[in-house]
Amino acid sequence: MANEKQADEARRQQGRTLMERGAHAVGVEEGKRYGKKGYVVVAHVPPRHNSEIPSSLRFSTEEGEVEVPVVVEHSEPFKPE
Amino acid sequence: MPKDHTPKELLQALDMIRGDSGPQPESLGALESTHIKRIRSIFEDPNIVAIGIAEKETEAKATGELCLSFYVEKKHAKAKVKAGRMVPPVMSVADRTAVFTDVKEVGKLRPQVNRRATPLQSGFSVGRAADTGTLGAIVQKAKKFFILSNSHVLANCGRAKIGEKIIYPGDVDRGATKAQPVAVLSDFIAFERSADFVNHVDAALAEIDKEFLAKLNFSIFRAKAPFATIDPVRGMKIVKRGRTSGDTEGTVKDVHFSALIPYPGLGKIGFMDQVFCTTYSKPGDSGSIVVDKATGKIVGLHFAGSASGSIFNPVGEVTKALKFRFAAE
Repeated sequence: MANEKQADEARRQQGRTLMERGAHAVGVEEGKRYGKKGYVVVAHVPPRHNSEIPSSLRFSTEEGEVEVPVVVEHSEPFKPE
Repeated sequence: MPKDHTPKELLQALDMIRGDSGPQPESLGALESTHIKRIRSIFEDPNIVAIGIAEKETEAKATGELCLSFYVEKKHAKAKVKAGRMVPPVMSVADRTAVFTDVKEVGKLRPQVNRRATPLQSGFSVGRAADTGTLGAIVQKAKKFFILSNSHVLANCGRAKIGEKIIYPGDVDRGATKAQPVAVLSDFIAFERSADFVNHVDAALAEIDKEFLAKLNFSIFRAKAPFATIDPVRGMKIVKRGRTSGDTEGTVKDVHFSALIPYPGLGKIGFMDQVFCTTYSKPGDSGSIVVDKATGKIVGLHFAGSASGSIFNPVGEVTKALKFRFAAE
């Protein structure tokens, strides 16, 4: 289970990787909406996109390795309004 | 007439046609089922824009009788209406009673938008050339007054020239009236066109013409004067007034949101540390000022969205980039 700070750090470090794999936006939200505990990284990918989004992101801290769950949200890209 | 006094058979007929709460054709007899299916098929005609209960009119005179009213964009002569598209003059409801119908011309229905010619005010339509969005706020630098909105509303995403005219209301909202220039583009933050999440704001300023300085309304929807700003936090309830969707509310879901936003003619522009919320906006709301509902403090500048959410720039980044303060009476 990751806390908000850890999920934010995972996004900061690896958000670009998710983008390169097809995400058009990367968020951090409480996991309960997705049936998960703590906080999760949310990869927003276009509908019908065959994403290669990993199920979690790992990074190292002084206290050891942290694993943050990734959930995929299919949505149209955000547009200027 | 209050709904309570509306004849029951008319309400039944309305429910039956709308199909949501009324009986389904499958639950009725074959004759009634065919009748209702035929009536509902009339809605496939794009000329029918609404349905309701109103006083029947015959030869432009009210008859005093309520009827089921079909509202059309344009009323055609009976001879020109296709057989399957004709609204029957009488319609039977489930208990075999009959109701009269009427067809009323109402023109094209459009969502109402916040537009006006004066005063210049937060939450109303503004634009440059063909681009239309929302006037965010009247702001001040030294002794000069400016309109704050998005770069993609006032500055063609950074491709416009300083000095270009800003019109109020925006082009799509001025109807047949002549465009009214009220300000000139004076500053904007150019996008960094990169595959990375590097941009922080979509913002621009336009200096207000002298002749409109006496026609300013400094109020911002739900913001307390003198205006103060606040950093967004997850769970914060926010409000905004926009050109298209008017006064709406949302909830902050994320304060470090990263997104690639496709700008016409520019491609994808990467933004970082944005504020992602439940959906509170529609196209045309860009430039709206977002306010913390609890404190009345300004929290952001709206700029993007989709069916899955709305996004605003944190106000601290906007004021830092364009170096202004919010003006008040």
